[in-house]
Amino acid sequence: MTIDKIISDLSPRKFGKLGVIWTVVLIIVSTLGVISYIRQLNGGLAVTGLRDYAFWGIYISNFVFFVAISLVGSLVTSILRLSGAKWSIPITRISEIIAVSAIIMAGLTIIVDMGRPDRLWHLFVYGRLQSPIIWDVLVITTYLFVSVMLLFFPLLPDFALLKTKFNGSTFLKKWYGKLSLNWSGTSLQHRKYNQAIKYLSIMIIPLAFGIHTVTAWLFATTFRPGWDSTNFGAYFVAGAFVAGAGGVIATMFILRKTYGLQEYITDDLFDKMGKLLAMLCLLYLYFNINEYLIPAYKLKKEEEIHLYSLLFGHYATLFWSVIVFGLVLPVVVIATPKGRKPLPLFIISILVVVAAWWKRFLIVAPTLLHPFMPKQGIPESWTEYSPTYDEWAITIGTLAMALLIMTFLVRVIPIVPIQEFKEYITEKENEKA
Amino acid sequence: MKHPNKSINKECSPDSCGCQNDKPDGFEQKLNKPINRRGMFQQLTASLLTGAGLVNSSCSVTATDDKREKKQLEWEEYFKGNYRLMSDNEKQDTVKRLERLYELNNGNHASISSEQPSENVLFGYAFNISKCQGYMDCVNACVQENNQDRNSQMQYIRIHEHQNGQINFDLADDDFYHEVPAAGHFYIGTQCFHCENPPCVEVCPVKATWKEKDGIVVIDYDWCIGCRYCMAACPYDGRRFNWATPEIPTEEINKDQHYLGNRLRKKGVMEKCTFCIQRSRKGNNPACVDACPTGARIFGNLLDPNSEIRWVLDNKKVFRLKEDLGTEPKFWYFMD
Repeated sequence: MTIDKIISDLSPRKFGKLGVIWTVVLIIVSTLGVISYIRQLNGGLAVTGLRDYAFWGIYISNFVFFVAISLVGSLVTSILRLSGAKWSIPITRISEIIAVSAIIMAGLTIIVDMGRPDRLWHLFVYGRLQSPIIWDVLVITTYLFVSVMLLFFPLLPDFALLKTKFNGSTFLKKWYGKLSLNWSGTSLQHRKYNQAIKYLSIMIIPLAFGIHTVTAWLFATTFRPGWDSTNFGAYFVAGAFVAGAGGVIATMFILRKTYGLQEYITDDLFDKMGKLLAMLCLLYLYFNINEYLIPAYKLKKEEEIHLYSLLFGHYATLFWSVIVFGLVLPVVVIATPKGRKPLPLFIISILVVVAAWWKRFLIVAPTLLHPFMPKQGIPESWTEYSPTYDEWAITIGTLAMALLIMTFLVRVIPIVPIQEFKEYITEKENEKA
Repeated sequence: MKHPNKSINKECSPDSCGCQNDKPDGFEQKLNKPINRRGMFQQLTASLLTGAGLVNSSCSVTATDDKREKKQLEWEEYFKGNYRLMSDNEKQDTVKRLERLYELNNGNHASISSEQPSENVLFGYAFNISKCQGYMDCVNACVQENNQDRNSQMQYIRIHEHQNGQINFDLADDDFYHEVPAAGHFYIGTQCFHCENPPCVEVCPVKATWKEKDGIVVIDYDWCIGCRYCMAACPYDGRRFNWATPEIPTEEINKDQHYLGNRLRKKGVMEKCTFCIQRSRKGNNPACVDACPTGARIFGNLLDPNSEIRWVLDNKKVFRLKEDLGTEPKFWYFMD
């Protein structure tokens, strides 16, 4: 493949009809979310289905979901990069795009849950380090910063290429020039650039573990049955990798299809990502068994009530669907070679992502409905949690906003790293020769 | 900042009241700094918000004097510091502002106290299970005293009707509408237990809730960000959240108020039982104690060897709920 072909294939392209419709739909859904949020600002959190029992709901589970998805950036760009798995190069950009948009939305989602968003600045100016919420604030802002750098640094050579060779709008071309920061590809620049990326890749691993472990600790530091677990940090991190890998596969498939990138995002890449996903599912399954079997063996009174509602009671259908469709089925399907073809894998990955969202819901809501000192004989609005329209609109709005950020980035930057891909392909061809 | 959790707790415990003066630690820094930072924030935000509603009406020539004064007061209130770190003068100032705001909003005067904890006082509470008959007078008295939201029927106290033979909160009835006492049942009241080692205070990200020197766990309603993490941390169902703006008919408002107690709350903040801080700091009993027709509720100073509560602790076999958690509630149950 010549460099010119690579550039013309991978340069950002104008959206077709489908792309425009997609963007408009996302904007409409996001706007509905904003309208509902304004209603919430005026009426207070009373517009949600949250009450004294389930005082955290889909806002918090949605937040945990975003944090989980964002972990994929570190998995693909950093863990795979450092372990020398070069095959992941074509999807590093995609996973960083997912990571950046998810972590931005994680930060915004948590504000939606606050009773007094006008006092958000108290967190930054008067935060006390002893509170896990402040750990989360610290680690998420740091992760956002490092993720943005990990997205931006590898873009430098691409921007420099596009500065001269881009055929689209002159406006974008001008910006590529500015953003390339005078990259000219000298050996000194290359050395510094490789060094920077390496340091960032190393830095982001503890940070990525940090964001999700701390988010798990947010729950695990309380006495509540179902949250009071030493397994929680690792359990959350494993689950996050599953959700992230699912997210990347789904995005890969859609981008490959719309942009015709079969030569770049190959079937072989799907095969490898499929195997990775299956492995991560098994890992998460292990932690799930750990998380439920041990309390189920001892069956402390409060744990019993909580576990019963999950395994056999009110949440049983949801619980088992999540386990079967989000964890067991993917492993079974991926175990067959046909299951690792792009289309079946795409369907599986969508299942995994949807199940991952509901899994977070199952972690947050049922626990709150079974406190130590339950109040009996009270209205159902207390003991049951069903999110209201406004709550759903805001939550789906945040998901749409995340997709909107991704869509914007896909529109303006090359979704497969041009320079890195060229080096990778030359190396591969040399090996063959 | 080197101090871990524990030193902050000590700061509020009765035996080490002077530790703010001991050495220039994190507190000293916090005591001094916020004024500058607040000032900076005030200016920053003011310049950012120029033209926005708040500034607009406070500077507007067409707005009435009252309206302008109100906006001005709200503006100053928004940028005040954390009550816990205020000097006496600052406390006086904010109380004056709040009283004036109350007057502007409701047309009559309410007194808001900023009374400090007394020396050698540590409040404790005992509940006589044998005596409680489930009349619920305590609940009503509490709502009237503490200006809780009437719309959501917020109540600090819950009376659980248990079947004889077991204390099982899963089988208790808390919403009974029958004649009491019901045969074969007994009653246990719960509310905030004002733990010596309160998990809710530990987790607050902005120190909007803390334990006072006299042992009362309080909330600065003007500091709380409404994250509800304290609600998650409390194992006793002791905390309440204002899901909407609390509404109380003006004639029902208790005008004898305390900054940390029953002054009117805003939407989106936590609140809870404060042992009626506006009463107990004046040497009175909380409203629930005075309202109880059976004498099941006993309140007093744990450091006073002659107090009734000490007599109960010395002479009765007492227990507390979920003692295994190490929260050390200052709320004991006993039987005759």
